[in-house]
Amino acid sequence: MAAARSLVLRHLRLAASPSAASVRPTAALQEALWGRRWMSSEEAKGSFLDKSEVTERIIKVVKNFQKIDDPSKMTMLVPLHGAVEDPNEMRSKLLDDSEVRIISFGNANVLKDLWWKPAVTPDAHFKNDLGLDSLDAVEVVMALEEEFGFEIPDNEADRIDSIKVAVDFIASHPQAK
Amino acid sequence: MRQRLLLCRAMPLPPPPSPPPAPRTPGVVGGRLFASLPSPPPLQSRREVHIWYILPDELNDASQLKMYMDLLSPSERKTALSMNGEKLQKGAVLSRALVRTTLSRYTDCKVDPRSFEFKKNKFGKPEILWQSDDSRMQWPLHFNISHTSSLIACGITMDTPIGIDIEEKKRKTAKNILSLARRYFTPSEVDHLAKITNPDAQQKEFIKLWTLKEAYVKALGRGFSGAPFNKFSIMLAANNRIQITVAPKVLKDSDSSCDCLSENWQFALAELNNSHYMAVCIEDDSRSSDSGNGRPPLGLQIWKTIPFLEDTLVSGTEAVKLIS
Repeated sequence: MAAARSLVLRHLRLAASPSAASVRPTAALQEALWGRRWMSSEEAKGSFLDKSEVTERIIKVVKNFQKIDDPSKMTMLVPLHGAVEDPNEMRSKLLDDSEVRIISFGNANVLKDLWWKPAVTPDAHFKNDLGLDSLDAVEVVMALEEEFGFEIPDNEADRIDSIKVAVDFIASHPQAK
Repeated sequence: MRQRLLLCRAMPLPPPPSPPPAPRTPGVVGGRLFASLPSPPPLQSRREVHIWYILPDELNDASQLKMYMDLLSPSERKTALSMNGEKLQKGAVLSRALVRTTLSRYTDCKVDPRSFEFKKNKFGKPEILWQSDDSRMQWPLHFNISHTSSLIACGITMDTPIGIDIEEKKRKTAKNILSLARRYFTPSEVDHLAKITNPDAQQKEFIKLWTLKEAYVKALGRGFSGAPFNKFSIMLAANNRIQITVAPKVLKDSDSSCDCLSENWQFALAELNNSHYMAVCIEDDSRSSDSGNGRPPLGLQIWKTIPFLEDTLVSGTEAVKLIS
């Protein structure tokens, strides 16, 4: 009982005098007690997500969004006209790479159309790298809201134009789950 | 338009394409660039909107594309080349070339397409940066561009802010239409969409509303966050009138950032090429704020163009169906 009481007192003392020279809480404890900023008790329940985890999850959301089965979503068409030795081998090689799908082969193993889905990398810009337009961007923001469980206000959503900006925003938002 | 199929099917080899006709090489500077084409009709009033559009899939001639590339400023060229992949790069080049060539034609070719400079207003809307006040007063041109991967359009007006937005008619959304509408549109717009039972018709109506709302935001020039979609409603009335209503709370809320939302804007909606919806929005300077049927419609003229080579007036033909 005494041990527990002194433990509690020690914690109370820490909370009461954060700047006392003789008592230096560890960084982890400090962050747990006070956070990076003064948080409401509700916000204190959340914590900031790790950036690399956020990046991975955002990339996954955007990749899912780039549905290759919907022709209107295919942003790139690279017409190739050239003979290919073994269409089946080429097809399986390309199909392994989720970024690419073959549309058709003509006669004489001529590769007719190749759909290329741009790679979603951590530095991808929605418009310049992924070819997303404003309606796409709005859908991506909605998908991110669902993934991370909080509503992104319009003035913030407006600024989210790349993976990096999305990561920075979400990783610094305590409500992100 | 080619149908794009995901099936692998043996198809007969198409005959080799006949070589395209050699592009007429234009003159070197200024007016001679457009020597072979008639000048566009002048914009006679603030109610007139001229739209010029390009179909990127028709423009594949390398020397032609290089010619357009040469019109761009160094920073525009750099931006275009930094885009990911040929198609996006081509789109960026064509879009800048379209703006420059079109603007030049409306100065009677007195300003070379290469000479134009642009700036962005504080919310990011591109505007012409005139060298002198005289030029600006002589040609008080406003413009706005919109592009999809298959069509790039530039709208021009005299002395009145303009916004245009283009969308493919068949454009599918990843999310369900009503969820998107609930998240971004107003309750009355959601109700309107919810009443449409046919999913195809509902999707088309969503796209039409989207383009109209985008056109308004772009005309206003304050960015998506300056005119959030859920703060104003657009209604396609039975008599084909397009009506905008700003949420009443907003008009009275003087410290909201949306107190710039206004209702004195006029709209037009058209179907282009049977493949795209185009919405146009301009500021309405008519004296009467009463938006009754008395207000004359926008004077819309639309051309399909291949800059320097060919113009086709499409308004008044099958290629343009005015929805309102």
